[in-house]
Amino acid sequence: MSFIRAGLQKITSTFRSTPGIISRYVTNLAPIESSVVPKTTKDVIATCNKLIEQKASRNFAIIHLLGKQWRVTDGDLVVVEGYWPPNIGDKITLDKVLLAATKDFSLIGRPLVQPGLVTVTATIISKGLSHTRTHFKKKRRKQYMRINFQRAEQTILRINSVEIASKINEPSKSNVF
Amino acid sequence: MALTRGIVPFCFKVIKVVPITLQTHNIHRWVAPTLMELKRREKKLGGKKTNPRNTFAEWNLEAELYAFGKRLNEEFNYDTLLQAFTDRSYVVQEEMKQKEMAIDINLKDNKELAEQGEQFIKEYVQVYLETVLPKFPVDGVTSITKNLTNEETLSHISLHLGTKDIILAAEYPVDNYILANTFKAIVGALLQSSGKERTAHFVRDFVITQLQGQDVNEYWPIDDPWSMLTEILRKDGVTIEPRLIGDVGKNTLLACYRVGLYINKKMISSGFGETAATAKEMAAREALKKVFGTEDHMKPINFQLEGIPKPNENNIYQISAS
Amino acid sequence: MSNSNLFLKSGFLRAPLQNGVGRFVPQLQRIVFKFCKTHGASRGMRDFIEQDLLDFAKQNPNIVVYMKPRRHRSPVIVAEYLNGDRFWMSMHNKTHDEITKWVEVMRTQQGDIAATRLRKLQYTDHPSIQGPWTPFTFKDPELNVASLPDSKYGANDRLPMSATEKLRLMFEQQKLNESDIKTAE
Repeated sequence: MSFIRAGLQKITSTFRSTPGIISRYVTNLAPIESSVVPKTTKDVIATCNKLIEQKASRNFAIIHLLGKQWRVTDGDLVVVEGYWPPNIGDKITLDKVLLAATKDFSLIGRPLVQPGLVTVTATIISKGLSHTRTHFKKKRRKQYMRINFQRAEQTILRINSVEIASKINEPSKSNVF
Repeated sequence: MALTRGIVPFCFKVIKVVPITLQTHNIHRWVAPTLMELKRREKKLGGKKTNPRNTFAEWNLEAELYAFGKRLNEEFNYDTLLQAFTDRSYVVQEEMKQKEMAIDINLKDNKELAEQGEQFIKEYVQVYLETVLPKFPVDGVTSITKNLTNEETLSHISLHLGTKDIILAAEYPVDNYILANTFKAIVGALLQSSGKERTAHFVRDFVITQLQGQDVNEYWPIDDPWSMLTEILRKDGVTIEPRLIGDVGKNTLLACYRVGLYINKKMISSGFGETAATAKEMAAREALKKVFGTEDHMKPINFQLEGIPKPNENNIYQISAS
Repeated sequence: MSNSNLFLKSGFLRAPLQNGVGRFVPQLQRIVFKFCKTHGASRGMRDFIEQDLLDFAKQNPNIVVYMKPRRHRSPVIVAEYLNGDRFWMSMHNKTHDEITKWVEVMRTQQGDIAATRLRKLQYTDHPSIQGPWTPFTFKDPELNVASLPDSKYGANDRLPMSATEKLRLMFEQQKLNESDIKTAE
């Protein structure tokens, strides 16, 4: 009995105390200015901002595109499979950035990097069909045999640029989402 | 009995023969020999003949030239463009024909246009590269320009712009020289019809973008990176110190050494090699890349520069390769 | 069963002439419609030519459109691309809608891309930007000046704790506790 009582007390205390269990499920939406940033963190952010201004290195980003994640950098080619509306020659911006990085530092999104911070632009260069894929199933001695053929739509993207546009830790002026 | 005895061996013979005659071939027996014979005759006549696309019934030169300009998003003067596509060999061939027919129509070849185009391409590419690679030495930029404007690269560009079928030449398929020459002539034609800035953007979009994904250092082989590095650093009054900072598998076939280069006890670069000497050389190469601003993780070359950049020779390292 | 994949070429993703880095160039250069003016198999093709072909040609000035009527032969579309590919397709008994869709595919693709099986759906010239890992990457620089063999670096701390070791520790713990009790007294 004493075990159970102790357990119950533990549970109630977690709910009562301020950084309790509920706070873990609530995204911290408070504006950045209100939270106090420690000095070392400030230094790190200042260094990163300086590196961004100098444009010292090639950037790469992990973007989320039609349920898949791609690691892209300038000049990459990406094939998107399945129906996708953009037409050839269109220039698009890929907004769902999960991670952006340069040679010296990485910005990891939770789950997305702050909107407006990173711009990934791409051009659609080709839309066609894949080769014929054969799906063949057979069960031995069970008189079971199925064959299917399918061709997926393939859209080829050229990544034009991955840029870290504004400064880190500055609230974005326009809300993209 | 005698009759059956007489028949039995005959029956055996039949049984023996039957399975062989019943064997089926998926490909008929006569297909391969026939194909071989056809191939042999074709070879005897001088190989497979490809008919020029412009001899087909479905061919309209005017429409092709119109579409060519539209495809590249450029405004060409029709006559100049036609002249750009006319090779010298075609003019000679036509003149011979005309002599036989006793008529005289003047045809112009693309020699002049190609010369104009070539000069423009070379100058513009050089200036452009000097602008986007500000720290790279002049020698290096020149060798990149040479690589970008050589016959191989230009013919590759020309082929992928669809000039192969349109070119008026005596031979078909046309060789690389004619392809490259036609591309230069197209640039020359554009120069006449649209002016310098548009032509510059054309060259940027098709010639300079060939550097995409390439390592610019590979276009400029450096024989002795160590002495080049020390010479550069001597001008700044700094001495450099190589140190062995790691080794793996000494005295084996797969030995690997790592050498770091230090200036005032601060590491500037490191390199790997199978001996300490090669590692030092590789480290010097890395250091040179750093000096020239062309490391592996360098900012990608800007392919969007507007207008014709002005030549600026002040901030370029003048190094004589020793 | 399908044996057609046995001779399918495989390859890696490429774009002709760095397309899209500079300006975008549509890759279809010319398209030839071959059909019969009377045969029923060309009906869809004739409908397409009557209703849609002019608009198609107007919207795509970069494509040269040819028509080739031939008596009593089945309809065919041949698309030619800038990279040299020639894409031939029979349009026998195909309806107007089907032909519209196939023409759209031919217009937008960058060559005969279905002729190769892509081994990877991505292409990059820069597989690593922050640098690949090497055995030297996170190595302690202290090791450079150490003279080996050294018991400090040579110690084997990767094996799990042995029973003897456990016993020894327990014994030492016990001794400590005993001494604590003694001092408390």
